[in-house]
Amino acid sequence: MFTRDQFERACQVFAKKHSQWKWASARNPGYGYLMRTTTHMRKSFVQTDELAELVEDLEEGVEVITSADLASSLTVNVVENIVYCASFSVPAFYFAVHNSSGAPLPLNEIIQTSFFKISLPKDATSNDFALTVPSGSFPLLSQGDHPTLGAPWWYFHPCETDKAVGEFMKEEDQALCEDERLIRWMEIWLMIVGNVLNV
Amino acid sequence: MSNYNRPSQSTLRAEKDRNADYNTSLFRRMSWEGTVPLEIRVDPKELPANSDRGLECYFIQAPRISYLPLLVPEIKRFLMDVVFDETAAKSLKDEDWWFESEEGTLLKWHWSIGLLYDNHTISTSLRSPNPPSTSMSVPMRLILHLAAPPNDKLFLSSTIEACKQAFMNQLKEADFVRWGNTRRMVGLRKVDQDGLWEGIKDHNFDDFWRVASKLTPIASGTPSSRPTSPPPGSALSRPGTSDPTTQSDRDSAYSMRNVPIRMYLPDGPVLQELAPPILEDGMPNTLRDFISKHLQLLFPDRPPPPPPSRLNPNPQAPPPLEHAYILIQGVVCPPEAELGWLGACLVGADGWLNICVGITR
Repeated sequence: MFTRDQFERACQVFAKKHSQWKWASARNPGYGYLMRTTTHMRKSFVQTDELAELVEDLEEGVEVITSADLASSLTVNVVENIVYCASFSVPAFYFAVHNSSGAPLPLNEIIQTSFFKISLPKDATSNDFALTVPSGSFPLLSQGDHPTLGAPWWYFHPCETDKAVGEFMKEEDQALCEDERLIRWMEIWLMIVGNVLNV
Repeated sequence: MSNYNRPSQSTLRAEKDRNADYNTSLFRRMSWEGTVPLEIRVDPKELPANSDRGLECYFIQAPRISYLPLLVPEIKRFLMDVVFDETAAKSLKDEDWWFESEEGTLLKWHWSIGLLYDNHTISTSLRSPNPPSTSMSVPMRLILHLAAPPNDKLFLSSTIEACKQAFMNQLKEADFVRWGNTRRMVGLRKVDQDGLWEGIKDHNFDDFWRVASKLTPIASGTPSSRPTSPPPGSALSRPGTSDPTTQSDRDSAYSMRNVPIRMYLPDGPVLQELAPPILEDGMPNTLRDFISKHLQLLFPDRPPPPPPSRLNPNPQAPPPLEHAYILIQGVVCPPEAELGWLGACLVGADGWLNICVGITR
């Protein structure tokens, strides 16, 4: 469990060690968050508007399709945020995925990118707005208001985070100083998120 | 002395609880029955061809505890019957419809209508030179767009199903904030959980609260009368010691860990902080305590009284400066209101106490 101050401290020491993460501050103290951007590829040829247009151009012989055009239509841009979740007093993983024209991807397309590590568990259900496994009381993944930005972002439900990371923290060297413990907490947590997402 | 003349301690406590139950129910019913006037107008640039212009405005007195996706079917029926030309309207897809306020604020699908309205009241009071009228509520003007929803700023799905899931998530989250676990929500049978949303859809107070009362504490057991060590089997013993679903009917608002509360600032961010119903010194946590802790500038702590002098041997602390007012369920709340009580009586249907902060001029 983290207070807002502890979360801010954890983010700062974590970002010092893992420099791809940058701290974004907010008007209110404790509402800042970590961010980084990554790119991923679509895994399969999903029928998208961009691909359909390229195919049309090919058929009409209008343009030469370069491999750059093709690569661009297969690329997706991911912004990842680590934000404090006040209800569960833990960090939460928020993300936004856009295609190369800047349009947000629907959930079924996000699942079909290299950002998702595994295929869905057999009994998972996915619709436009959430990914649910029956054993969970909350959906695994759904849209929610970003706690600082207010816009809708996808997020990993943090209800199990404290328990899951806590188990691993028991195995850690108990002689670590406070900053080192905070960094280890974040690293273990991202490893758990990494079971599902390529982070 | 005969026992017939003196009511026993347990009778007195039962009567006090009955009063608390009555008061809690009264305020819950008032919140439930609250409505706000909406004036919905299709963006004139988007009216399909051959629409009956001049009629495209729809007035509705909407329940505070309802949501925009639940109003869409009624609005659509009106527009299709009265305004739109049948052929031109064929291509309209209501999943692409979205609302914004007259001032350009995007209206979220998963915020209750009461919350959207109160936020709007506060934003407009900041912009206009006249103070808001307290005697009559002004219709909130909504612009209905029929296409191209701004997907970066609004949830991708505007369906009733998505709204229901967001609502259920909020209920579970509130459950967790109150008790540190979601046992009460998860312990409900599926038909009861669904019944909560059905109660919202059908606007049925009894159906909704029959289930919700298993989750929400009642405003009994004020701190001064709370026994320090409740006898075993007493109605006020710690939750979780016996069957949660019957136990929770008697859970006191003051035995919660934290009140699920969010602060909505004018044109600003939504703030969420821990709000225990009792402070460390044993006093009940009030709106003033909470706001002054988290929004120092708006509710500054009372300055100390001046030192006693010959002319003023018993100085009083000067009156506190109030730069802000708090709107809950459309009502301006006194700063002395206790968070525990508010969290039992003026809570939204999704379990959250939404407080909108306005600035006095």
